[in-house]
Parts: sequence; structure tokens; C-alpha cells
Amino acid sequence: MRPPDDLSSLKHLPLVLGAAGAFVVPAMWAFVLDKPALMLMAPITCLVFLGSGLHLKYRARYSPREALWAAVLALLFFGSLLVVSTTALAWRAHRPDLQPLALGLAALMFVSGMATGFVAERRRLRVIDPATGLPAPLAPLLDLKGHRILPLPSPPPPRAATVATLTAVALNLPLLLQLGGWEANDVVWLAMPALAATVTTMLASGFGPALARALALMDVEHRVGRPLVTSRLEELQAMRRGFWLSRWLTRANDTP
Amino acid sequence: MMDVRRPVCTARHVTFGNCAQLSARPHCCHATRVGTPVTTDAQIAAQTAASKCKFDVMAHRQQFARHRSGSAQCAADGWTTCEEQLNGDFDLDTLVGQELLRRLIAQQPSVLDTLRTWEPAVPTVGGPMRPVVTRPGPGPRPEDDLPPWLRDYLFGTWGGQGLGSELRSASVSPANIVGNALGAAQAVAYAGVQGQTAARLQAAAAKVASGASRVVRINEFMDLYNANMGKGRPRLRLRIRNLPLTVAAPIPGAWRTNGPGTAHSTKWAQPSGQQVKAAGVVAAESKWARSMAWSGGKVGTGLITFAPTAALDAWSSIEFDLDAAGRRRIRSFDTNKFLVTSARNQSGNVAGLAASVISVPTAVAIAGMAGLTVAGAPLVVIGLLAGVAMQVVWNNYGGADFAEQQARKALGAGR
Repeated sequence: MRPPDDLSSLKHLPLVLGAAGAFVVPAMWAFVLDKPALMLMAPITCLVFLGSGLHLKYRARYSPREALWAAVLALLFFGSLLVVSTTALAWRAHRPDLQPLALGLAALMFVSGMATGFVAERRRLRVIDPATGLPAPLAPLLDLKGHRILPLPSPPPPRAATVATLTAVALNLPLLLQLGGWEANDVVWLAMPALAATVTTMLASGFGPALARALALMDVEHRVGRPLVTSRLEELQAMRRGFWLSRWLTRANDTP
Repeated sequence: MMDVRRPVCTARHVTFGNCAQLSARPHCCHATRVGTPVTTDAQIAAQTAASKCKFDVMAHRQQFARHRSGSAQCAADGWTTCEEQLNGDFDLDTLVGQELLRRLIAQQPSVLDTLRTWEPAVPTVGGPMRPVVTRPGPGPRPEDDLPPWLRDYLFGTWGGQGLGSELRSASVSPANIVGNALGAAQAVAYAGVQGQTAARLQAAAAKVASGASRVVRINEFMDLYNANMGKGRPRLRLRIRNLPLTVAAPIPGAWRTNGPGTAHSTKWAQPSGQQVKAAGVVAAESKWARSMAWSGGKVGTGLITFAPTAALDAWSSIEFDLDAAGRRRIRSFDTNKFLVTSARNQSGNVAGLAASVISVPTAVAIAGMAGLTVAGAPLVVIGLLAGVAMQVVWNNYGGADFAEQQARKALGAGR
């Protein structure tokens, strides 16, 4: 529903998402699944994420229905992060018998995080804006005449260089722990609870409300009778025309 | 055999004057047994050999004591020795206590006077109740004049002390510091009687005999006292103060004897803080980091991510010479080893950095698809921690081994 502010970042998105599906997501399950299962999982998640990346790059209109698909991707990606954050602790504690409990805990964190944000946003959506007859939180988002969804103003996403620099420091945390007389793997005691807390917070404050808004927008679509697309669609299509393979991969009715 | 109570060891490395003369390995005196009575021929033979070995060790100790001024480490035969001071209170097993007291009585009959003051106030329970026998008159041997409880303790058997305790007291391993300490204690006891401590010992014995002290003073390092004074069966405890001990330990496998046997390379299985700090010093001195290609590039991230690990790998790839004063001098840099260990250790950093760099755009894309406006900070944190998680997974699930194998294959280097 919200194309990236810098549209040119779509160019490498299939590559990035495919790598995440092939590499990051399976690795997050390494503490619970054995190697053949991971080898089976990696191509599947790679295809799912690569397909999502290709869709976002060439075909996405950022409609509410795609927001539902984003919830599935969030389940795969952030759910995997939650899984690694709990199962790594069970692994470090040398308690393989606790792995089912860890998985259950990860599922509980995902569901409760999503549900908390979802329920809170549903409550806010019950308030109707008298001028437009729409739910009040959606009123600034919608251009009903053009059937467009307007992007909310947002803080800029973090620059990759910032992340890389900070990560460079964080990756030396195991060495620092060794200096302090710990073991390198003890880093999971510090990092994994922080990861679980961050992901759960993000689900509760971001993805749960987003799911509720997407459902409400689909309801609006149903009432209006026309699909809602992003207000930046023309800009997006102009951009996509320059992409490699765009002639075959973009939608037929979108290409001029 | 014995229960170590608050042992305090202050280590101090001492020179071997001539390492080639370390023919008598100090650990062979572990064969000496104190507690078990000598019964079989084999045990007598072992005892003889062990005492001979013990005197060899003492002679050796006297020899290198002359060179005490310097401080160096001998690595000639793969053993490191150091002089330590042992402090602590040790509970003595019944058998060991019996043997020790028997020997003490044989050496200094005046000890008996102290022992008599240890008489329990209440009759001991657990052992068979003996009718109180009249004390026999002074006999030809001092131990004939013992009170019955003491005679029972020294020469009889207590209930429950059977074959098991014999076996337990007979088990002496190189790792058994108490066994070593007891061997050393015996040696010091011999030396004390023979040497100049004899006079002091006489004075102490006189003091004990007069009833002023209830502690049996064995020598200047050791006191024997009853921790269960007046309450029942004696519980002997040995108090050791500042007993000089020579601890010989085999040098673990990190030491290599290529060349004349003085070179070694350090090993980084689980580096201690000290080693890591030392590695920092070496890295700073040899300025290796500046000559690395990636540090000259635009990406300073590479420097921060990979430099500390590279410092450790460089440190473990340097071979040192130990000079006579024990200082390390860099002999050579094992390039193959550096590349292999780098491939192993840096691969985790690469994987972690890649995962974190991938994670953030992925999260941004999924969030944008969901129509989200997520502030930057949580995404950064997720990126960082996903990187750390990936690093841990990579290093512990075969990724590091895989990278090491690939590097070995590429370099054509064997195991």
C-alpha cells in the first residue's frame, strides 16, 4: 500500500528478497531443523521471496489485497526471527528438550503481537469520520474520487551504510565477550531477547494495525466497487518501463 | 583422599639453568604412595624407585634454585615447571592420617604427649565398644604407651573403612594436586629432619610436650591438628603454609618442536582476555592492518567488522622464538595458516554482515507492502541482531568448517 519513497530501490529488490529467502530465513531455523529439512526449506522460501520481489518490482499496485500477502511474508520473515531468538536460547542452554517450548513461545509472541496491534487498530477504526463516512484513521489515506491510496508521510528508512556500520560493531560483540571472560556463543543471551522484543514490538505497533487497515480498506473497496491502488502508480509505471525484462513481466494493461 | 580447603597458590616461574639435564621428570614421583602400608614385593620395589626419583627431583630443585634470579621458562622437553607456594587446610583421610602419625611417632616420640590431649570427652560411638583396658606400662616401643582410642585409631580399623578407602587413597593421578602435595610434604619432612630445621623442630616438640601447644608441628611449613578436638574420633587436619612446590605440567599440544625445539605457535581455541590483549599489541606493532587491501578501500565497515578477528588470526599464525630471557621474538608468519584461519573465522563475520544488510531492505519491503510507516530504529536493531544470529548459526552449524575446507583446498594445504 505504500511504495518505497525512493522508487529506484525496487531495482534490486528481487535479488535482496531472494537472498533473504534462500539464506536468512532458513538459517533462522537451524536450531530446530536438521540439514536435509533446511536444504528442502531454502529453495521453497527462496522462490516465495523471489516471487514476491519480482511482483513488487514489476507488477505491484500496492493494493489492500497485496497488504494481506505482506502479512504472510511477515509471518515467514519476522516469524523466523522470533524462532531464532527463542530456539537459540534453548540451544545455548543445552536443553534440546525445550525446543518445542521455544517454538511455542515464538508462535505465541507472533500471534499476541499481531493480535494486540490488530485489536487496537480495529477499535480505532470503529470511529467514523462524519465528512466522508469512512473510518476516521483511513480518511487521510484515501482519495475516493481517484480510487487511490495516498502514502502516509514517514521517517526515512535507515540507510544501508548506517546499518552496515552498526552491524560491524555488533559482530565484534562475541570477541568483546571473550575479552570479558565469556564464551563467544554467550552473545545469544544478550542479542536474542533484544531481537525478540524488537520484533514483537514491531509486530504490535506496525504489522497488526496494518492488517486491520488492509481489511478495512478491502471493505471500502467492496463498498466503492473499484480496486484501490497507490496514488504513485503512474510514477511507478514510468519507472518500471526502464527495468530490464519489463516488457514481459509488467502487466499488459499497465504498459502503454 | 584429602579434602582441599581454601588452597591458595601463588605461582612464580623459576629458571631451569640447564634444561637438558631435566632427565628426571618430576611427575614420576607420583608413584610414591604414603597412605597404604607396603606389603608386596612390587610395592616395595615401587617405593624404592619412587624415593630415588624423589631425591632426584630434590637435587634438581636445589640445582635450579641457584638460578632463581632470572625468570624464564623451559620448554625443552615439553614440560613446564613452576614453583608455587601452597597454602591451605587439608582434611586427612583416616589411612593417611594414621600413616603420618605413625611416622611422626617413630621420628619424634614427644608427639605422643600432644596426641594424648586429643582424647575424646565422650566415648566414641560407631566402633565396637571395647571394655576399658588398663593402660599397659611403658614398653620397649613408644606406641605401646598409647591410650586405647588412639591405639585403635592408629593401628586398628574403624568401622566402614574397608577396601574402598584403600583404593581411594591409592589412586594418585598427575591431576591430583593433593597427591602431589603430600609427596612434596613427605619430601619436605625428610629434608626438615635432616636439615637445619631440626633444631627448630626440637624446640617445637618441646613446646608441644609442655602442653603449651595442641598442634603437632611437623616442620616449618606444616602443622597437624585435630579439627574434632574433644568431641569424638579425631579428624586430622593438615595446615600448610607457604610450602614451596614444584609443579610440573605437560605443555599442551599448542607447543610445537619444529627446529631445535624452542619455537611454538599460539593456539586460539578459546582465547583468554590476556591473549586477546596481547594480540592487540602484536597487531599494532607489526602494522599488518595497514597493509591489508580492504582497509584502504572506501568501506570502513570492513575494517571494523573484520579487523579484530584478523588480528587474532594473525596472532595465531605467527611463530615465535623464545630467547633465553623468555621474551618472544617473531620468527615467521605462516601465511597459509593465516588464510585458513581467516577463512574459518571471517566467514562468520561475512555471513553476519550479509544477513544484516539483506534483512533491512527485506523488512522495509515487507513493511511497505503492508502500507507501514515504520521508524528507522527498530529496523536497524533487527538488522544488527539478525546479523548476530546468522553469525552464531554459521559458526556453529558447519559453515565455518566448510569455509576452512574450501580455503585448504584452494591453497592446496593439507591438514
